[in-house]
Amino acid sequence: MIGQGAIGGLTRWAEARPLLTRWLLAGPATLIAALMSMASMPLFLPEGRAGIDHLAFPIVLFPAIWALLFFYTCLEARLGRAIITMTALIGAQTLLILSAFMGG
Amino acid sequence: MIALDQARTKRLTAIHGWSGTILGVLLYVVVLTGAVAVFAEEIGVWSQGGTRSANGITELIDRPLRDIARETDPRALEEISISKRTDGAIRLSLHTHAENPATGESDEFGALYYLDPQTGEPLRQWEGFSSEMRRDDGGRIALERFLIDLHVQLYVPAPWGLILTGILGLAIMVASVSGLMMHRHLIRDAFLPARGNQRLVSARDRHVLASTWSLPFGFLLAFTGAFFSFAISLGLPIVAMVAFGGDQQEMVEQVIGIEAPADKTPAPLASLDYILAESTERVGTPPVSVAIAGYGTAGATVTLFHPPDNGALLGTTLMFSGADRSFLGEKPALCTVPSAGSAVVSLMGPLHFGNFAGLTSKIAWLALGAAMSYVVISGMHMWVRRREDQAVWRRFAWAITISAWGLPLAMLGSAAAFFLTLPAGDPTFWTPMGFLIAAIAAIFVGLGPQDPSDRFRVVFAVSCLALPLLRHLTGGTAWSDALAGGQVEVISIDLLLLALGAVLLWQPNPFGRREDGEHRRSDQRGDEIVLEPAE
Repeated sequence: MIGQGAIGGLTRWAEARPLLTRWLLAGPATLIAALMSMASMPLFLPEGRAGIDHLAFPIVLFPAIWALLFFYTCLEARLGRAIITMTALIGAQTLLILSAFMGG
Repeated sequence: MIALDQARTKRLTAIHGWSGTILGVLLYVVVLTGAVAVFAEEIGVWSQGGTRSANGITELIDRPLRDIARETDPRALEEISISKRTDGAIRLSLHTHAENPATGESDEFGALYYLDPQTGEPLRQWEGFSSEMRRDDGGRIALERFLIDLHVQLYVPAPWGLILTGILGLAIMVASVSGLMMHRHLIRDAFLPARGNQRLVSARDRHVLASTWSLPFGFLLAFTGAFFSFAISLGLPIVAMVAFGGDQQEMVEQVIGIEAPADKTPAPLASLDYILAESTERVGTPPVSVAIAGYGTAGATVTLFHPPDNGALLGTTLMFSGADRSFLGEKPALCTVPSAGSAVVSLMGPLHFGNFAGLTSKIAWLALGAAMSYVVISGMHMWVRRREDQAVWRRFAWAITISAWGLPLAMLGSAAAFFLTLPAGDPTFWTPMGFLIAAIAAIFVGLGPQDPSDRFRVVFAVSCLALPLLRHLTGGTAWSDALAGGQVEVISIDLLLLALGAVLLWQPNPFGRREDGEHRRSDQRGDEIVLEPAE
């Protein structure tokens, strides 16, 4: 209930300031999510025959991931959903990277 | 056009316009210098004069290597790389990796030699950390290096220059994708019919036509360019931090497939000249670079990279045993066994540099790069024209015109400074200074109450006509010598400059007549939501 209330409050705050919210989502949030994606992908991508696919693909895909997230945050009609998606993406990848550092 | 509601389309239009306007001048610099840098190697040959030896390593280098290796710190024999410079000299680097106390970062440490291709004798040599040596190479490749540096990192210090050009690559991706999504008649606009007086009359027509053709190309170049910029400045450090505890050198060695020799028993290197000949015979063309790992050990390997040939997209890399010169097999671009990652990464270079089909693809890349440059400038002009009732946008329009003509003028200025200082000066210093001086001169040419386009056209045309003459007067290769030496680059670039200068002098407006009042109004219908040709 508390979580739902917080999300509802955040959504209302964002929708009251659509331009600022979209700038924050398409700017810093997209950049952070794309960088976190590049950092987390070596942890779950398959290594491939040569043992380098998990290192090469995150670097190759970084511009594409950034562009995908940029257009998603620009074009998503419901700002609340965009906030939740980006927060979940960044949060999940942060946990993955932290667990790898703490475990290793 | 992708079906979008009005709010989304309006948002995309704003993104398309503002991203192009805010970063437009820098985008133009990166795109135009990139189009020219496709021919950097040819510009190197054209600018240096003298007689260039054959492409690839065809010289006997076994003896010079052994002589130098005997005199070199044994630690520096860990990795040896040999390549050919565009002035014909053999570049020989012998190095290990050590922490540079000045920077606190891992750096190549050892010796670097430039060898005479005929005699194998050292022309120049340096010792120490790689980042601190050389640059003082007589300046013979200063012009091509300057043009490449300007394109790769806008002459901004690393890693910020790479990050900046990476951001510009992302901006081009945004402009390309948003343009595609907004475009109502993509196929029709690629074949925009002539109207009225048989000309593409409005600026918007020309912008749409050029952008339609260069759209896929723009996306491809932006994606591969952003990859190259971010791979070194961000990707490598971030992935190395996660996967290798921050050890970038270890990651590079694993990805490239450099392995320390398993057998470190002392053993002399087999004949390098034999290995070069064997590799050349197997592939059909000489290698352009050679890497030797573990020199002087029984586990030494010799890796030879051959550039693409006969229309092939990718080059060929062969490996030989350094101890008994036996053929070990073909090596993928990355690592030692084929992989999807290696295949994808190895495609990035040919697609970005346009060198996969020789001169044909290079000319196509130059033409599409020029079209993209036009798209950037015409897009900015359209954006500003709709706001020209405000003084700040009128001044910005002036700045766009100065930038549009000033950049190519400044590139000619850098070439002029290079030619003037190559015989007895310091081209490494004066080539970028020539660019700067010409850029400042372009600003003065642009000052004045009237539209400066005609002044720029005349100055640029005269500069194009004068540059081949200046090259010749300062000791550049004569056409007869170029013909005798098979240096078609010298004559081709001279002729291209002369033709460009003549066309600009003869044809006052080579891109079609200026739009008349009717079409000017059609461009001023406010912020267009849908890009389509005026009917």
